[in-house]
Amino acid sequence: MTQTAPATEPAELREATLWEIAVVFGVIAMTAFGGGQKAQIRQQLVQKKRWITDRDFIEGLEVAQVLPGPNVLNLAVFMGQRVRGTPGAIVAFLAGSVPPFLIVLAAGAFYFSPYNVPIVHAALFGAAAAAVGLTLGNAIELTQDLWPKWLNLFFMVATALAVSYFHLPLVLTLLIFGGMSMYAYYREHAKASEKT
Amino acid sequence: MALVFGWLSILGFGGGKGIIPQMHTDSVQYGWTTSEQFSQFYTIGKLVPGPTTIFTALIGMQAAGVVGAIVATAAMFVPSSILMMVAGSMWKRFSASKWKDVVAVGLEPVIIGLVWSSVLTIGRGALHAWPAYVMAAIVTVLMIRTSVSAPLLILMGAAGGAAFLR
Repeated sequence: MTQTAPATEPAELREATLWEIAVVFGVIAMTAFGGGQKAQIRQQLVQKKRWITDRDFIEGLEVAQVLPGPNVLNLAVFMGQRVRGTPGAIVAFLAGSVPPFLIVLAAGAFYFSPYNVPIVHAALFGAAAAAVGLTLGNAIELTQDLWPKWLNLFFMVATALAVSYFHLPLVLTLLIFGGMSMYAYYREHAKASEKT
Repeated sequence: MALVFGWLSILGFGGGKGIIPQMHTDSVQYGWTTSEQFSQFYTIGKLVPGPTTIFTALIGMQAAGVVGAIVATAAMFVPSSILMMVAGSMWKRFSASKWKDVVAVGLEPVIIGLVWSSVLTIGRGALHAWPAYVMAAIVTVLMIRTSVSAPLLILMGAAGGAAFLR
């Protein structure tokens, strides 16, 4: 979760127009690269726009991270709904997804065009190699978070092996390994609360 | 395609990090993309602003043009967003439950295992020559040791590719 100090509570919350929601989440979508902008979003929504209290924001962020789907988009939908109900959620969803979609469409138009000459193709292979590096770096960093709980590491390795070498479908992976891992966490958690 | 991506949308726990291997399997099996294209589309998804999984649009585009891009993207983002709306409307109850922690923390090791699998998936389609391996290794170190942003690292990779992978 975000490690920054709690934002100061605003005196009172402000109303938001649909247009404001569209602008705010459009800008967030266009400036959020691969997550990690949560502190900024928090400052923007809680302190500058005063749409939500800090406590409610943190809870919304937690829900956004637990549920499937991109975290920032989930957060946008949550916020839109909080400040303006279903229309707000729909506007926030569109603002968070349409601009990146148009950019990727433009990239695709270029990719599938005759301008995709060999040197561009070579550059793309280099970029893909970098993307492998990024994903590997991400995997290493995330694994460090699990260290040194051997049961967590066991579930991690078992999942990776099952998926990469035995081609276990995602839904079964989540049910089997996800289920076991969540059960392990639940049991440990329940035991811990019994002791207190 | 709508069904495949709609299903992946609902299974996209951990911000969608975990669905890459299954997405690759489906895209290649249905003949929408090759492994190489999949890795390149994923790369573009990491380069552009917004969620990485926006590269679903490129798979749709490759398979069925602009309409395919729209259908694939909507299928990838709408179901999870509807779930979020439903959860958001009863969020007081939802956030109070300890199930949130069970899912968030309990599922983490499996999501990370899926990220390791993603490395192999993307690597298979992206690394065909030794300079590519070297570049991937350099980017890995830079990502962990420095604060250079992801898009910048990808652009550096592109420059390296234009120089060494022709």
